[in-house]
Amino acid sequence: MLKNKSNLFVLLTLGTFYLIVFILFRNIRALFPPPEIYSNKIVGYSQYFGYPFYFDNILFWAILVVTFFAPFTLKLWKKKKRGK
Amino acid sequence: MLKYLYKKLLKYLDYFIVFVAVVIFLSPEIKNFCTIYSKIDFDSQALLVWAYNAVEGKNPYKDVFYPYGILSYLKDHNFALHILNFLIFPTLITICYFVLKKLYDSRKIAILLSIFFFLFIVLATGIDAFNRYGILIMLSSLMAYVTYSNKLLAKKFIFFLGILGGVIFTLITDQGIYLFLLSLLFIAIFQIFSRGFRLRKEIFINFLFYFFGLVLGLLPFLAFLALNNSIGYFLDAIFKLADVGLYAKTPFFHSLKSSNNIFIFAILLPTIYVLGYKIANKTKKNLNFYLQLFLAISFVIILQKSIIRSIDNQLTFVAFLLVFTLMKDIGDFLGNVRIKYNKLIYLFFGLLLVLLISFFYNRQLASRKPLYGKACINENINHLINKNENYKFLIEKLQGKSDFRGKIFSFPSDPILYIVFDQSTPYYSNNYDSSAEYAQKKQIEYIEKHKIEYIIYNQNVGSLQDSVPNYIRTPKEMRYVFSKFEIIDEIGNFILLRKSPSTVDLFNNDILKNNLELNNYFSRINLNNILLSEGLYKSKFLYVNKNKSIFSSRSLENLNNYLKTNNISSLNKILKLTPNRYELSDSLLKLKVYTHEGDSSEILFNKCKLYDACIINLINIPLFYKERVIKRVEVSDFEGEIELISNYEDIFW
Repeated sequence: MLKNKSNLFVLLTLGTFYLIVFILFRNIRALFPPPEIYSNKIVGYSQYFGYPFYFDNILFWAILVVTFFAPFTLKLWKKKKRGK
Repeated sequence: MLKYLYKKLLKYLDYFIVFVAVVIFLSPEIKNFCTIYSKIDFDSQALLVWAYNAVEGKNPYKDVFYPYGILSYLKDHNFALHILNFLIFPTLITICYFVLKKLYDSRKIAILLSIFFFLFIVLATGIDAFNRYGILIMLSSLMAYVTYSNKLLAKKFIFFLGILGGVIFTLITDQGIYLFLLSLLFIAIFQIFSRGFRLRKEIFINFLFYFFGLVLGLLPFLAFLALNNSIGYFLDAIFKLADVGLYAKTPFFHSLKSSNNIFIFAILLPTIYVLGYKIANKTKKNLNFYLQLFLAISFVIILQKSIIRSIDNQLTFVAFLLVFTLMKDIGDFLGNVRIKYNKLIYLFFGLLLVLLISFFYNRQLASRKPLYGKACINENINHLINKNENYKFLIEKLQGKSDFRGKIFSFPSDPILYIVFDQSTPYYSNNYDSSAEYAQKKQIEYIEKHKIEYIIYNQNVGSLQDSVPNYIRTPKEMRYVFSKFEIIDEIGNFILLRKSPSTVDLFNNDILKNNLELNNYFSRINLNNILLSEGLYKSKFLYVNKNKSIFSSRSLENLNNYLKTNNISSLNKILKLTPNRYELSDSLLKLKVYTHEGDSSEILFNKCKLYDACIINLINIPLFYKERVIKRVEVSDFEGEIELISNYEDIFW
């Protein structure tokens, strides 16, 4: 019962994280600098509209890493509880 | 020997049957070498021109920009590669069946799920897309099986994987690069899960075997390149692939609204969570675990391409495969609580398939015909050009000109005209692929080398891709075209330009003056974020070497008085604006520049932050494609320093 409640708690926290990312998406994006036009003078969508080039990659990996390690937090918390 | 083969055949009969069944299904297509395009657009023209170049025997790295690998370039023009391409799909489906059979330990379920998967590919993903991305995915499934079923990683397998990597890199370059990365991860993961995290010399030996196989796999290709003096061109093309990402990048998370991406993430994220859960809780590492692990890794690798530019509709099949693995987890859980789930699986997947196909149904628009070589090209040209009055009229007009020598340059992108005039195409067929400055220079070299007298500009294509205007994407090419060639005629949506012996004054052209839309296109330009970016990253280069400040003031009137009393040429000039206050909250600033002749240009751009510079290199403004005297500058809602700088550095956009 406790295990199911803990799992649910982790899933809810994860869901909250996704929601926060969704709501604060523009604010997070604004933290990233605009892309540079390099010596090859390439100007595509990203450089023209100032969309941070690596923003999508970084956010994607952040979401993946948080999702992957979420179950580990539950394990650590249980270990801590057992330790007490 | 025969008895041995017969025994082997019996043992693997079901795989043979699956393979042959798919071959039979595809067999009507084997004679169809020719894709017939139904309409003239950016994609169909690019594909048709590549087909034309392949028929003409042009080398894909030396003579033509082609980033997709030799297989897709030659599959319709080389019988051996055509057959090889044909056999990819049945092979991948057979591998899928093999893995599903091992996963569910049931031939019945494996056949059913393979049929579902097959239908999904044919009706939703498309066989071509699956052939391309499915290779990596199916090989990752095999790696999962090998990791699960072996205590020791067979050197033979790694060596074979290396050879395969070399072959795939030869045929489908980007997938070869992904496979290389996945193979290295596979060797590392195998080591970790079979022997723990301690480094042993075994892992280094495995890497060596892999690289040895890889080199062997690459040798035929290297020999081919060497024979054609193309090694340098190939390496150059590979290194420049990274530049494609720079101009192709579009926002990724904005496209998450699509049903394809919703499905992908709805499956990928739970899979990642389940993997984390299994590793954290040290659950038994069964085949399903390794399958999820390797599929997730290879999926994440390919998704990096989708993050650059969305290919979501081509990747949904991976999510569909992951559903099989998640269902296995659910099935195992139900089995543990003693619920029979076989019938549930059939029902679930049947319903899921109907749902997914109704969402992602994607009938291929282009039809295929049994035509080969030039016949295929001619069929497409007749079919496309005859349906389009604009093109027909343009071609007739051009051919009617007494000084027309049968060669044109198309800008920004109507490369079908090169085929119509049967001329050798430029390296890049459109201005999207020639976004880099080195590529624009190459286009200009083509015009000069072939002594092109006529350029055809499509005025309906103000921005070829992603709403980036041509004067932004290819300013050097644009400046060359409109300063060396004069507008002489307007034919439908085409503008015809002819080589001029002297520098052309675009804004003094009657046709432009009478064409309000085109006039606005050149005189009211939007530089969006460019000036902010230039100011942010390149301010340090403003005063280097021969560059120097000509005039600087906090008052626009002072600048204008200076311009009035001095004949300041636009050549090699930069305007630097450093705001210290904005009155209005608009995000855009408007700058208007007037010349001595009375012409003007309105330039819109995103506001720079206070005390940060905005840098405008005047040479890229269409008004200044020809050198002019600047008479006046007006800026809306601007308080700050405005500076005129003479610039001799080729750094600024």
